[in-house]
Amino acid sequence: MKIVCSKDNLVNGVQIVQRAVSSKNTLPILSGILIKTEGDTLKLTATDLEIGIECRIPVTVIEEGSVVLPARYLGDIVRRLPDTKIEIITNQENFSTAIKYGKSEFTIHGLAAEDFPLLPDIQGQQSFSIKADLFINMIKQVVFATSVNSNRPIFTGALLTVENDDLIMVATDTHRVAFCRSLTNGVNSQLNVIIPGKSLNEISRIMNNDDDEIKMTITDNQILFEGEGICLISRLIEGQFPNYQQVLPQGYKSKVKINTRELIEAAERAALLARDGSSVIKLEIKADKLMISSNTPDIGRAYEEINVNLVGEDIQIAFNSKYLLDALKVIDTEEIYLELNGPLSPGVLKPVNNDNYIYLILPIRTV
Amino acid sequence: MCYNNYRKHQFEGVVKKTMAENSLRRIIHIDMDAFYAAVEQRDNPQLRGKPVIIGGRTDSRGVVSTASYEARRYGVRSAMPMAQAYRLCPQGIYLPGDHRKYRAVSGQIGAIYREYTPLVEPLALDEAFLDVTGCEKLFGTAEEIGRKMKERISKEVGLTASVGVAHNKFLAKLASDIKKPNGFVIVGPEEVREFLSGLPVGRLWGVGEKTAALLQGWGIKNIGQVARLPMEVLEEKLGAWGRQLYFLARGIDDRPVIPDHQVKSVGHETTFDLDVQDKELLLTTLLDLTLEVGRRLRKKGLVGRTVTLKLRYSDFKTITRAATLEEATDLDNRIYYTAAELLEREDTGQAVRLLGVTVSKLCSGDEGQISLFNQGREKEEKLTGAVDGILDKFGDGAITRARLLK
Repeated sequence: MKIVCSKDNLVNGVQIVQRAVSSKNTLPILSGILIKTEGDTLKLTATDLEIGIECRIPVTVIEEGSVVLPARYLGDIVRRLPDTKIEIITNQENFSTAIKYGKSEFTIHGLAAEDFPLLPDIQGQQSFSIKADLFINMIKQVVFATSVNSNRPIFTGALLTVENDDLIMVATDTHRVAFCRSLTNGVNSQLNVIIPGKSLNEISRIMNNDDDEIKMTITDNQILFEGEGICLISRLIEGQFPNYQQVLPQGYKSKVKINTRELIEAAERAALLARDGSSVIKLEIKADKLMISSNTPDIGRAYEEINVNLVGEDIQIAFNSKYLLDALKVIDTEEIYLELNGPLSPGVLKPVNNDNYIYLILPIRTV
Repeated sequence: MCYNNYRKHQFEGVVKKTMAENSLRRIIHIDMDAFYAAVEQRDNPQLRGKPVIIGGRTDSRGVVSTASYEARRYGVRSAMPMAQAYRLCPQGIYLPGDHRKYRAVSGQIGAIYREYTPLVEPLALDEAFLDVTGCEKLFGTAEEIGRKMKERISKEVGLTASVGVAHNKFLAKLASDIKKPNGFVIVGPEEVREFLSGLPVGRLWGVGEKTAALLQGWGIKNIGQVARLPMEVLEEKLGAWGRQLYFLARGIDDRPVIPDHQVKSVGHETTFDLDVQDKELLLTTLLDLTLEVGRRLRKKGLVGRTVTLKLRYSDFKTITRAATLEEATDLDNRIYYTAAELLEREDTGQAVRLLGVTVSKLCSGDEGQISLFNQGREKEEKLTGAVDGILDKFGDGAITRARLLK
């Protein structure tokens, strides 16, 4: 193999696929990146068998071929290359690969491309497209609510489904539920899959070109995302996602309209003195005032007061400040509604004038 | 040489500085006199003035947990095998002890301490360190506080305590111990050298039989002699620990009084009266131990991820086997099934002498964080909570597993 490419394209390609490289050394070849000439592009592939990422970058192909190069070294090397024409030459006999730039070069021992597992060929049972910015926005508003604890796998993923022709994404770690709806059309109504949170995070990282479309193809246990020059294959999480509709409260006893920015800042300050671990902050809403307080016995206490607009009963409730702030940070409206049904019932955050995002947060029982 | 001199200077600087700072602290150590035995004597006048020994059965492998002062006259000591105690004092009154009662009394005493300072570090049910630095304006000097507490324990609880007052934990504990029972000893900063010099090296915190024997080998018997040893010698012979010894021998101890001692693990173990080979009996005992561990975890509001099984075989070979759970727990069943699986995996061809289970890698529970979609666990939590409630209300044994019925 012999190709010529620009440093920027090479760095870009390596960085896109690098996150799929296996961190566990179960199969040595999986710690590498497969590079292969295809027409006048170079295709880079990495996988840890849970997720696979493929990316094509424009190159000048002088001689066709393929090789697997160690991802860690390849990543470190290409990032430090000078901004010049880069030549990659592989000896297809022993897979020794030279990366040449100007008068200098690296020589890396590669592995045979044939040993690299093929990404599964996803033949669409179902497929549809969605605007990249729309989909990535959904991911950003929802995926943080997935659980990091692999104890109950269902909760490490987000549900992607269709309700009345709208695309719905929901995630929960049992302490909060994030729900996002996107108005799309032409989506197959049979869709109902749980996608690992990690895969969704990767999508939002690598397919962030606003104008592109993302095409999704779904099989029984895998999902393929295709964007401009990039594709990502992820396994799906098996199981039944809990009935999130059932837990969304229908009404409220107290409804508060709060300036998002003010609430974020007050909650962030109060969180500084929230006890480690559960990060409890207390909210008290009385007339048109919201008081946020926290207390760490050894250090001291914090008290914040902001003006709000309350409809309904006065109330006191305690939340984990992280759970509250996570959602406030992805809500992009100037004001939010906080709907409450008593100190031990879930609270609901909604952007003002936007029915498409609902965030349910479970309180902390304080004695 | 130069370097050593420099180091010596540096250390002397540290010594002087630490002494100055430490003499500002006011630490009280309170140790209840023959606590368990005293509680029994208090509650049963017929036991007063008689040798009372609390511990396991005399025909078993149990040890003495407390001996009244009357019993100590016969040579009975804590941690002595019960059989030996019985030989020394056959006329003694042997009781199994009622830990629930002792815990309650201990709580009553702890409440008195906390009226004077929040800095209370309980070491056991019967002893605690208190830091009363800065309480003078409120309650008087450390000496006055110590006397008041001693008096109140006597009046309100009906028990005697020995009290030591000094400027650090090491000295305070020594002071409380020196005139037991019903003692009250103050060690002022100026009296430290005199107070320590004649005491045997075994009184130094952390010096056990081994180190004592080692020091005796060098002809060193009392603390005064240790205090004359240069730091370099102690460090060379005993490593980093020698350095601690250097400071302790001079009455220097920086350890703070830490309220609510942080628990690293919660465990329970038992030694069988007769070695056991029957797996079913081992599992039954394991369940019994697990219920105790689970209950203690829940009382402390802790959850743990690692379950450790401990087995000592009849030849005294001791093994531990651990498993880590995906999710921290305080539920009896989860701990039991994990420990039972570890036990099943062991080849118990040999009879077992001791069985224990411990939960570690602790963290505080969710502290009231409410969850959704937890039906399975919620049910188990509710069940466990209900059982705990019954036990709290009606006492241990009010409800138990069918398997544990005798």
